[in-house]
Amino acid sequence: MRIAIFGLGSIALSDALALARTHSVVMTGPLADRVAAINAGAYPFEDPGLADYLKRWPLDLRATVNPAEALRDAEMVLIASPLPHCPQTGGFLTAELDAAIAAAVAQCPGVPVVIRSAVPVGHTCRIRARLNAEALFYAPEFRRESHALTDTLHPAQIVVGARGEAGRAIATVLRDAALSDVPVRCIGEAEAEAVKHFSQAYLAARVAYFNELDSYAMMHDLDARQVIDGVCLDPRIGGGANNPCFGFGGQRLPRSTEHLTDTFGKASGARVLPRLAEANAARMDVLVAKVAARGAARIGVYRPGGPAEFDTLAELTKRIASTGTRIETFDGPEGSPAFERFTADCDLVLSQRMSPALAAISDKLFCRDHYMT
Amino acid sequence: MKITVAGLGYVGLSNAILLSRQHEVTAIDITAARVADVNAGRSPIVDAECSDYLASGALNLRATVDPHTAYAGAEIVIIATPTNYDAETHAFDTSSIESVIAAVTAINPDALMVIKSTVPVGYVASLKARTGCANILFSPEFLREGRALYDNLHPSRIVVGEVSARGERIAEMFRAAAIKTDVPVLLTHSTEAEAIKLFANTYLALRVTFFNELDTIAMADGLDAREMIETLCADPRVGDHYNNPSFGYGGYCLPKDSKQLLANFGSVPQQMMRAIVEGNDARKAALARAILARQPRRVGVHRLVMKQGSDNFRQSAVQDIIALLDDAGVEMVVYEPAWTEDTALGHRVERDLRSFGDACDVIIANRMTPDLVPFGPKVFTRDLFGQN
Repeated sequence: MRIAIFGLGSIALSDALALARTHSVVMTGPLADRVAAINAGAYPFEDPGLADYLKRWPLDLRATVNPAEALRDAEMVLIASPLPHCPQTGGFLTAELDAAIAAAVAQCPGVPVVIRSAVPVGHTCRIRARLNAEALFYAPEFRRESHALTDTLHPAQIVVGARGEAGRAIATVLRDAALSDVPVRCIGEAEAEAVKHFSQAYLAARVAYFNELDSYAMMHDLDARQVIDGVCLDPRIGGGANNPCFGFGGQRLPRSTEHLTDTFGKASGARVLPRLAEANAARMDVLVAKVAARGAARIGVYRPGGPAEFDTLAELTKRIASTGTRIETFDGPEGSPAFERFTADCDLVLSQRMSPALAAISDKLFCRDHYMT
Repeated sequence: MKITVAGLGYVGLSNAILLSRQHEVTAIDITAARVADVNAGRSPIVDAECSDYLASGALNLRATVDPHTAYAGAEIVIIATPTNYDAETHAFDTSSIESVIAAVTAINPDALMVIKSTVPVGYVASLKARTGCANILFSPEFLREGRALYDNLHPSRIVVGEVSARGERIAEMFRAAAIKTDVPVLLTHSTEAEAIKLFANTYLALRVTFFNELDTIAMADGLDAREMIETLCADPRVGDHYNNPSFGYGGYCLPKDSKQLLANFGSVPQQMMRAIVEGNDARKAALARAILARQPRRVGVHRLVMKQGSDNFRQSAVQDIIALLDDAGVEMVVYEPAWTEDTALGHRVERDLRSFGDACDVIIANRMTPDLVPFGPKVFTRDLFGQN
């Protein structure tokens, strides 16, 4: 089958890589350099299983900046366009995604179009009505950002937001892209849209909880790791997503929690969901106070890989800089001569994550990573 | 080894039984009826494994109300007396623990005391400083009500709040008493061990509250909560347990432990701890509104216990719903076979299920049970999976 995929990010790429084993897949998006990289087989994407996968499976996969070319003769269209965050309203900017859907519906009438991006609850229904697009569907994915391909090949489940036959047909295509035998779940559309955000919110709540545990430990001079170990040995609590940090960040968690709060939280009398963003702010207050208490004149910010959206380290840096403290940022590799100079120059180094090189300067390090994960 | 267990609630009794499989155990309680029960081989609490072991007669266990008999000659004293949460002082009432410590110090000052009762974070450190008594350490219990002995025989982990040789000895005593092998053992500092207990239970309260909020939202917006929870929990990072919507978390531990932890935070900036406590109240208020929206003439309250198979009425969530419906002036009838009086919380108790059901137009039930099926749409429950 010919499948067109809108989007060049990790959701689009992991779907494309998995489907291209058995289908002819054409990706499309406006970023020419990404398109070129994909056509050269240099996938701009990180996953520990990627190299092995590419060695093992010949793929029928290419990319184009021209959506019409991608859509030519397509029998199924996946929409994984980016959904940027609107800094004014805090909501999702759906223009690019909506345009992709409109293009697909116009050029391929009757062909199933499946949204994969985490759209606002009710969005699929609204666009279907606006475009009179009967064959528009939503199918959420639940992958880890760092293991998007692995989790596509071995997912816990395939979920499609359409009960009945139409949902099952789409689920079958997505399931066949996996390498392991997985259960299929066809549920209501709004349910599928909401559950995607609830799954992010659950992780955000968990991260926020263990961060507050760490704040408590910090303020009372307790060994946070002992407490977390003891708590997580309860199999009902378990490990994972329990390593303290400067706040839950990244593209996904803050946006989903904000969206759920805006959509449902205030009216329903919920308390945990609407407080998640504030929990990050409370965490920041603790961190700022603890950094200030170190009395450092010159603070270094170690940020391998550079800044990202909703970066809690950047937020912490901004808060500290506003007190007039001198800040130096370093984003190069650790262990390099420049790294050595950077750490020698600073009285205190802030880092989101721990590493052996940072452990060596532990007396001037401010880091809440207790597990190096 | 001679061991004494102070307190015959579910923590004390299950520990007494656990240890008396291998050691000579004396249990002490201020309630003569509980002591008589244990000496007669009957369990004073509802717990299948406790009843079986006590009836077997194979235990080296006797009970007494007399402190001298109990404490003289004991090498180890396990303290498992109740520490109720005091809403006025915002802390656990630890006076029962301190009475035991005073008695043990007077009668047998060399005994090592192991506190199993839940205590505020930092309690043992301040107690040692205050009393000058060094023979005290804290070891949290992680038992479920109704499965207390089972959970002691198959513990998820053994935590002892002292990194020392005697801490190791206590951990080894509990490890050797368990049936389950390969139980992880963790020796921590004392305040850390206290924090583990409260943070573990408060996490479970967060989990219950999270799924209850999902359900509240689903209820308000006409979404299928079951589909959402099943989908969400198929993700191994979320897990398929502790996710069945309810009238709120309740029972003896979760409400008091989450409140104690919130109080312990004091001035430490936080949002989750408060949200977990307030979220439970918000859930009950949302449910009361949903019940009132049915404009019931008479509401039937099906069961006052928190869980199936428990005899515990303490802090059951439905009691707060009753209070909210009282405020709205709703007439109620209670069905609770385990209740011995004619009224409960100011409402008539009906013991015949049929006449109870016929007398009410809405029946509220924290958990759906087969006996409710004939009442069909009259039943108001948020139980999706028919389990605790």
